[in-house]
Amino acid sequence: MTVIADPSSATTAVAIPPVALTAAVVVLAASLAAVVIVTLGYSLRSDRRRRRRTPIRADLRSELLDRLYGRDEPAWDEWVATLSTTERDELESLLDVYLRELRGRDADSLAELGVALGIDERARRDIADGGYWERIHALVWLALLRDAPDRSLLETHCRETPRERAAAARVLYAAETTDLATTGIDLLLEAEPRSFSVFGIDTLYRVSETDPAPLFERAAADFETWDPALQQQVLLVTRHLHTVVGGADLSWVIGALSNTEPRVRSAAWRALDAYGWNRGLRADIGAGSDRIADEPAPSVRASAYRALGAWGDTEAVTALRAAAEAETDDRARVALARALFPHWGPDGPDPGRGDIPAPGRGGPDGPAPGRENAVGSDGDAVDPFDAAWRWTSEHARFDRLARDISGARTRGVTRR
Amino acid sequence: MTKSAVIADDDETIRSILQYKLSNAGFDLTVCHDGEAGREALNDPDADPDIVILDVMMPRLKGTQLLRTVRRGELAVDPDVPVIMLTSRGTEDDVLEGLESGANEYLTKPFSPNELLARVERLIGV
Repeated sequence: MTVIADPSSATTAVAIPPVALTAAVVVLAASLAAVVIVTLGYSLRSDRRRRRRTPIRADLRSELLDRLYGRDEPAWDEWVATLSTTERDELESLLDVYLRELRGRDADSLAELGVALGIDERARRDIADGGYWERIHALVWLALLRDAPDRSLLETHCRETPRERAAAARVLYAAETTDLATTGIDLLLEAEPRSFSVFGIDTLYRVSETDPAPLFERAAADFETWDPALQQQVLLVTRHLHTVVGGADLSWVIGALSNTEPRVRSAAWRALDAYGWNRGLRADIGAGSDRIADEPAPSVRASAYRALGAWGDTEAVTALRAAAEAETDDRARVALARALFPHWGPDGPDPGRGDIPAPGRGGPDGPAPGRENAVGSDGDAVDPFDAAWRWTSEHARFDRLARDISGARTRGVTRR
Repeated sequence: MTKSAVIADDDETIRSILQYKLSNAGFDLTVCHDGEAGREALNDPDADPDIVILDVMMPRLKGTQLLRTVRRGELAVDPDVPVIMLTSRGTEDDVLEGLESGANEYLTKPFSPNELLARVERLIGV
């Protein structure tokens, strides 16, 4: 079927009746006025509420601190019994703020105030019977009160989302339970886990820091089944753990070096930062071989250089120096120079060590060690790696200058 | 002899806890709401605190920057005044940066006021 358009239709203006136009304007103006009135009404109401509550809050804060620090016994129960509903609400809000800032005896004492207010019982009820946001709110309160509920309550009701899993594990962390690492990792990573928010990553880190073994065991079993975002997060946590497990199965990290996703490969290299001491692991990685040179993604090569820099021994530094010859990407070159600088810059160890050939190192502004001849005699044809080295050197010099806390004092700045 | 302290923290809750705890321990307090106010307090010709307690992340001037100016002797206060950093930033790098800036102690929030007071008293030799 052929449709022939009327050439005159494109230029014909549609006439709107004046009555309809007027009605539309009136409706629009009325809607705007209604929005303004409602907004002002809410603002005035909340302002009045705030004004009414401000003195109450100030009085409660003063009484709270006085009972916490000024008395031998705070007698929370007696105090709570004298409070109105509004005062109890405001006290809960204050308690929330103070519990986030305190630990030790003061936090323990404030937790007793939470019990006097009935928060712990309410939180347990909300976890068992409440909706999603009530459960999240309840978990936050139990973490603040350092009060871990029965594990079955958490495992049954708190696995709907990564946020909820993290909140449940956080309760165990806050309460310093003995099963934190095992139950915490189960809550976080068992049964089809998904990637976490920043809060979840932080929780995974805190749980794993107490004992990394359950995390490593879970990753060794399930890593390949996780989505790349979660794989990256687990590798990120592994990188930052201070607790190193000597005999841990880290084959999943080495496997991740060959992952199809560059971000996972990059995270895997950085996860190995702390394992330079593990010769067996390094042999499996083959960092000195063609693995890095064959890596197509510059960002992954940069991460590999940073890992070698973190290892920092003769073998790693030799691999870095060899990579400097072949690296073609500017950003990766800078990463390489920054990884090499602490070991080969003016503040590095004696260049005569080990089997590394000792180059003639210049000052902070000098060319890269062993590459003095790479600079053109006219000063213009600067070798690409040497440019990265000079940039790193200058950056390090200014960083030292900014952090120096002795300069002005030795220059004799006048003081009173 | 009365002891004195300068506190710089932008968090009202932390200020209230420190005020209560240190006042009860007999300190005269100068309380500042941000880093710049802390700098002004420490640059007062009459400033002679026994102890300084600084937050790290504060409006207008970071606690570590303020501490470096103290240690460099750029302010009127004694450059060797004991300083405690009290902050939420608790990673290894943060702690190292705080100590490299010249902090005598580095405490992370949530914190124990009793522990803080014990460290204060140890630093000023009470």
